[in-house]
Parts: sequence; structure tokens; C-alpha cells
Amino acid sequence: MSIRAAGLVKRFGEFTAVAGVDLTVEAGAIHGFLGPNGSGKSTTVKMLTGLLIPTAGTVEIDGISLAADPVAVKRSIGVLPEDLALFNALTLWEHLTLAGPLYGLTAAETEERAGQLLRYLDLFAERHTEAGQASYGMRKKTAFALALLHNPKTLFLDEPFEGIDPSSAENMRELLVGLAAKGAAIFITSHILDVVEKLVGTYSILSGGKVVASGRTGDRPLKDVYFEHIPRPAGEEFAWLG
Amino acid sequence: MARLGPLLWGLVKIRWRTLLGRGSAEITGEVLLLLASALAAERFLNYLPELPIGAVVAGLAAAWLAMSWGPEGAPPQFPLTRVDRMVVRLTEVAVNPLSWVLLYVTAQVSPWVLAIAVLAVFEWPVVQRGKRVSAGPSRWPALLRKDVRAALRLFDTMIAGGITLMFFAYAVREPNMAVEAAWIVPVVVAISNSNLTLNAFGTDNGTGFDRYLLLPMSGAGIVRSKTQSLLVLLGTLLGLVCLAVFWRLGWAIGVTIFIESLSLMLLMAGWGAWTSVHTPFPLRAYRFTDGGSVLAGLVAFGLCLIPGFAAASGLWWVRFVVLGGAFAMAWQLVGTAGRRLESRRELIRARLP
Repeated sequence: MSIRAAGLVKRFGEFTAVAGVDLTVEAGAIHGFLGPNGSGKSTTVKMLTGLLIPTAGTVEIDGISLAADPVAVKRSIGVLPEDLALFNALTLWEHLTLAGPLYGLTAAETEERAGQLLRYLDLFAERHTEAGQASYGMRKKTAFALALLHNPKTLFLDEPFEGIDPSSAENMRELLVGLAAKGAAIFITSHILDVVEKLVGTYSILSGGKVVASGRTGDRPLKDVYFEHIPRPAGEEFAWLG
Repeated sequence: MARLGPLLWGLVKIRWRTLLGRGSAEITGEVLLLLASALAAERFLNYLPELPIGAVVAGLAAAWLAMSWGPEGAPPQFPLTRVDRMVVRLTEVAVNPLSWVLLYVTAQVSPWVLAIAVLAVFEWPVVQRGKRVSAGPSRWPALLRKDVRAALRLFDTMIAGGITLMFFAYAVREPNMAVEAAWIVPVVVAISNSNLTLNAFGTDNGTGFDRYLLLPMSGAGIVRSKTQSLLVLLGTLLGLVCLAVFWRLGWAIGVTIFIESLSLMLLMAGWGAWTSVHTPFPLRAYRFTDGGSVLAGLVAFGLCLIPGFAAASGLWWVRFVVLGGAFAMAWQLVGTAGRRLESRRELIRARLP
């Protein structure tokens, strides 16, 4: 197995954001992590990737404990975090050339992979734009390329398709499917149920910091399962609108 | 004008919430700079030519225009009219207690420092925001390049650079350089750059700090990388000062100022690493910054004075004792800060936007 989390809890003072999440994602699987805003999805991803320290619980990636050897875990995972985690003062290209050597790639390997990724994501022409000056979509594609650059065995992607143009989103989807087919474990959070349903094999639905449903896509329409556990707000009549 | 009422009241509330939220006990890099400038003014600023009052007024008027109509920091064009925007800018300045403190302190010193203070309270906007990047040869490690590039966009660092260049110009103009200026200027340069020194992660914002955490680097590695960037920056500035001193005052005093500069760099690297991990606050490009810990600022100020006094003391052994102490302090604090970063990462992240 590639991702294993047991009893993950995160409290911020009195507020419990994540209340005991257990997860297992096998190698070669794409797992969708769904839930409404504020349900604890991003907090869970941050705990799984070392950005937040869990109040309780354990995380293991490829059998390595995140708490015991965080650097080894970071070396083996790729992350597209919620806020993209880019340096405003570096260009998109510099982000990639900075990261490669830290993951053990040579400069030539880094440049070759970076160029290929940016061309595939339609970002090569804009590669010398500083991240602070780049559009949200450009920043997100860069963060996505950074997540893939070192060929990680495990990927965490927080809302990867939000704000991405359709052709790049399709290319990203193809890359992810190919990566999973080669044995990578991929963990995706998303609000877009249609996209998730086409991409993932298994899913968990989070509400109030707890997993309220999980299963395999294809057994039942994902929308039915989702709205069964996450009810929509009651209808309102907006007489003043329109 | 009444329609602006809620907006202006909102500005007042934001300012007071910021002050109360961080605790009223704040000190700023600008205030430290002004204190240092006041100390140096007697010996150093007297050498500058007196400016005609008309030139000062014209300079301030130009600065006012630049500050008022820049693309960042200025109130939005719509739905505010030109008069509305002026009112908003004036209110922003007036409700900031720092404005009044700076006005009072700087009026006591000189028009030069007053001009700096005016820039500080008005938060000079970005005039040029382009894609072009220039700082640092391309072979520099990217993290170092990033840090230097971000630092060169801070007004505090610009002032440190400005003071260095002014000192160099003074050395060119004045063959009989005052020895006092030689030992004061490194202290002023180090203090004026203290916002960056004390907030190594301030230029990265929260997202940049997240990237540090995601890269396969230990806490110690991250702090060492930041310390390296600071030493390169401060070393360049103080190196220029040392060159000027060697040139005009000879080897004996040159070595004294070199030891003073080295001690300053080590002390600021050590204390900066510690405070960066313990009392972080954000730094914004093309802005002066307020915030931070009173204690951290005062300790930095005190630490900067020690090598200065050692240089002025005339006793060689004192200078070497200070240098040794600075090295030991830097070694200890950089190491400790690296270990502490792992456990304090959430606190640091929470304090960076």
C-alpha cells in the first residue's frame, strides 16, 4: 500500500477540523476525497503531506512514517497543495529548476523534464514569468508540474482542475491516468463530481471532519451517494433576482 | 462625501484591529532606522550638503504624486472619484499612530530622515510591476536568488543599500574620512536591514513557506538556506563599506571595521534565525513594514551596537572577543532555530499571509 492514515485528528483550539480519519490508498489507485467547503479535506491533505502536524493519528507513505522521517517522505511524494505553495519572487521555470536538484535530479534531467511538462501544459512560452505576476491557472499548472517533476510514487492533488483551461485539464487527466497505470498512488480532492467520477476508482466523502461514506465509483452514481450524505440547502425564492 | 463614511470607518477599524490583534507593543524597522539615523546624524549627516527648502518641497510633492497614484496600494479607480481617493489615502495615514510618531521623531532630526518617514507612512506603491527579473547571476542557487531578489524589493533593504552608497560617495568626496563614520555606518546598515534579518520568511508569504515545507529539506536545512541568503546580502553591503574604509583610512582601521562587520553579520544571522522562527511577520515588496516583537527589535538594536562599541574602543582583544562571541551565538542560534522550525511550522505559517 502507498498511503495509510490512521485516526487522523486535527484541532485548532476548541475547533475540531478533522475528527478521526482512516484512509488507505493502494499503489496504482486514484482515490477521490470529496466533501463540502469546510469539511476538512484540505486540512487532511496538509496532514498527509507534512504541512500540518496532526493532533492525533499516524501517516505512512510507502511504509515510511511521516513523523519519523519527514524528509524521506517528502522525497517520495508529489504535492499540489491548496494554495499552490509558490515563491512570488521566482519565475515558473526557476521553480522547476530549483526543485529538480533537491530531489536528486541532474540539471540536464531537470531541464529536460521541466521543458516537457511545461510544453504539455501549454506553459512553456510563459516560463519566465514570475509566479507573483502569473495568473492563477499558470500558477496551478506550475505547481502541478512541480508535483510530477521527480516522478513521485505518491501524489496528493488538492483541487487540481479548478481554474485550469479545458485542454490543459484534459492533458493533466491523461497524465494522472498514465501515472496510476504505472503504479503510483494518487489522492485527489475535488468539488467537481463529474470529473472525479470519470477519473477515480475509489472515493471517500468527508463531512464535519469525518468520513461519512466511501466506496468504488461505478457501483452507484457518485452524485446520488454524495447528496445522500451531504444534503443541499433548502430552496429559496429570489423574487428580487432577475 | 457621506457615502464614504462606512469605508473610512472600516479603515479605522482595520487599523485598530491590527494593532490590538498583534498587541499594542510593536516596534518597527522604520523606528529602529530612525533611532540609528538620529545617532548617526550628528557625525554623518552633517557632511551632506544642505538642501534648499524648495528642493525638499518639490521632492516631497513628487513622492506624493507617485505614492498616491501607483497601481498598488492606491484606492480603486471605481467607484471612487479622485477626491474620494485622496480622502481615503489621507484617512489611512491619519488613523495610523505610526504616522504621528514618525512625524514627531523625524522632525527633530533632518529633512532627509523626514523624507524617509513620509515614504514610510504613505507606503510608496509599486511603480513598475513587470515580468523582467534581474537580481543574481543565473548560476546562483535558486533559493538564494529568490531571497536576494525579494530582498532588493524591500524599502528597508533599499535604504541599507542607499546608506552604503552614500557612504561610498562620501569616501570618494572626502579624503579625510572621519573614523567615527567608519564604525557607525556598518551598524546603521545592519539595523536598517533588520526587518529582513528578523523575518527571514517574511518575503516568502505563507505559500512560499509551504513550498519550503514540501521540499525535501530538514528544518535545519531551511534555516541554513535563509542564513546563507542573509549573509550574502549583508556581506555585500558591509563589504563595500569595508572597501571604502580600507581605501581612505588604511589597513589598521580597515581590519577593525572588517572585524566589526563580520561580528555584525554573525550576530544578526544568529539572532535573525532565532526571531524568524519565533516571531515571524510578513514583509511586503515596495513597502515599509510594521509589526514584529518589541523585544526582538530592541535586542537586535543592542546587538548591533556591541561590535560598533568594540570597534570604537581601541582595544584589539575586545574586538576579537566580540567576534568569537558572535560566531558562537550564530552557531548556536542557527542550529536551534533549525530544530525549532519543525515544531513551530504551523505558527510561522499562520502568521504569514
